[in-house]
Amino acid sequence: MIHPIRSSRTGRRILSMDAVTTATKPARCLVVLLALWFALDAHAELAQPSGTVAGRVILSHQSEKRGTISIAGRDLSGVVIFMEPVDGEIVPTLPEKEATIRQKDVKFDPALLLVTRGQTVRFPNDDKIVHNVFSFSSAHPFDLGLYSKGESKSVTFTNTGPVRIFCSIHTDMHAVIYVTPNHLRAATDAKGRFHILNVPVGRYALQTWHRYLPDGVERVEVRHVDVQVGEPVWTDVDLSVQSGDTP
Amino acid sequence: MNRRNSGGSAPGTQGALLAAALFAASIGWAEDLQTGRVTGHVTVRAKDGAASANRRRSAYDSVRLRRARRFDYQNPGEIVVHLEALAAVPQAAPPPVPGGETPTTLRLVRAARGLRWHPSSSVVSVGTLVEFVNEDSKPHIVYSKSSTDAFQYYLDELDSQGASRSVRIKAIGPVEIQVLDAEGVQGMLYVAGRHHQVLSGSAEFELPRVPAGPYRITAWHPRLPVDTRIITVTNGASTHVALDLSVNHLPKVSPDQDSP
Repeated sequence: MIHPIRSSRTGRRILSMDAVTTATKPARCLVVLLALWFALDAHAELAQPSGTVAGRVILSHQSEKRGTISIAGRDLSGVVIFMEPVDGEIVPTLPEKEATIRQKDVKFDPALLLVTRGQTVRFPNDDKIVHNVFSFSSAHPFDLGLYSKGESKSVTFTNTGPVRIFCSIHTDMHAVIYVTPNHLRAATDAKGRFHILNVPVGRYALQTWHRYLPDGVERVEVRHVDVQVGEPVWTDVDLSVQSGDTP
Repeated sequence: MNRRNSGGSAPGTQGALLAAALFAASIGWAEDLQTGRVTGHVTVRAKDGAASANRRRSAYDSVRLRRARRFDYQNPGEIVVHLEALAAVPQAAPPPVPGGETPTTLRLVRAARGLRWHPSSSVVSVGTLVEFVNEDSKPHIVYSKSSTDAFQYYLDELDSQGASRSVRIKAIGPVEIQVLDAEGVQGMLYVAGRHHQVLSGSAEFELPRVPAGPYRITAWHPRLPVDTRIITVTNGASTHVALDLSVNHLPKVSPDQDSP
């Protein structure tokens, strides 16, 4: 007899190997099928079902006098979208590829970088002139000091929020690193569109940040049925300004 | 060196004698307070070695590098030094203004390069009435999101030429004024404590007639690390503070091991 047993350590079902080696030929086929079934089952337990959240940010203005006015024609790129579960917390998955902001042609490239809390960012100097990268943002103040072409320094960001960076020598060099609490994040394109892949089933608060635009927040739920159908969960985030909301 | 002091609202124009009498009454009441003065120096300087680092003739030899603007530490723009009371320190009431309070005005104007705020930046005392005037032919939606999250507020649309809205700023800190329907049209207000001074570059400062008590003194520039100290102003005495807006005080980072 072959008995699936539950591991005392992990609680997962496993097969007794003693039983496999002593079984007859038809029984071995059954063993292989059962092993396959148990393997798939174990994989399902390890990989939580996940889907895609997609949508766009929109701008509007609400006033008692005119009702809701949509604002069109504005470049909506660079709005940071990030998701936090309503219940519990997601363990951040740090990307294998390291994040980099280059100093090239007296600019930072890219000018907006999204990183996960705990992630390290490299700052190589590709210019033939000396730069001095620094930030005085409360989320992570730092000073990389003066360094030349070919050199690089790195910073690990452990606090969430926007980190504005500058060069102490060159006036026009500025960029933003936004540190998100987990890897469920995206930045919008010029039309305000975004999509976030591999969002585990659950309920989330989807939040936005932009240096100049109003903040927005939406509740989003990724359900098992959404994952099975394979369609993204669509959501619009209204960055609206309301009249009369003055201090 | 250019310095501009402020101790409250600007005087009105009606009745110089009446204003003088009211001001004298106000000073008389203020003299009952125990006050001291705060003096000091603000330093703005480049990092050691930065000036000589790119001095080689060949350093800026490409078009892109030649266009690079270098930060001018001699003339960095407005620096604000101000005090924020840390306890309920009794303050002299600002002198009453005949004819009512005159608000600080920011005008939204259409210039050759497009829409912009005039002035583009302004320093006001906390509690000041700020008026936003639309001088463009189109309606605009104006709002602000404080970069420090000290507060956040929205303003109604300015729906016809000459339309205006006013708001009384209640929190200290930088406030960026935005136009929702237009990109890149930012105005900057710095809301300072009532006792403040505006400098342009490294300079001495003096804040007179400060009621005795504990304060936070701050030197602020939009592109430099803020410097803040806690001080106690004592009656009849002068408190000296040295403030430094240099990058040098930020936490240092070591070079990568794989760097040459």
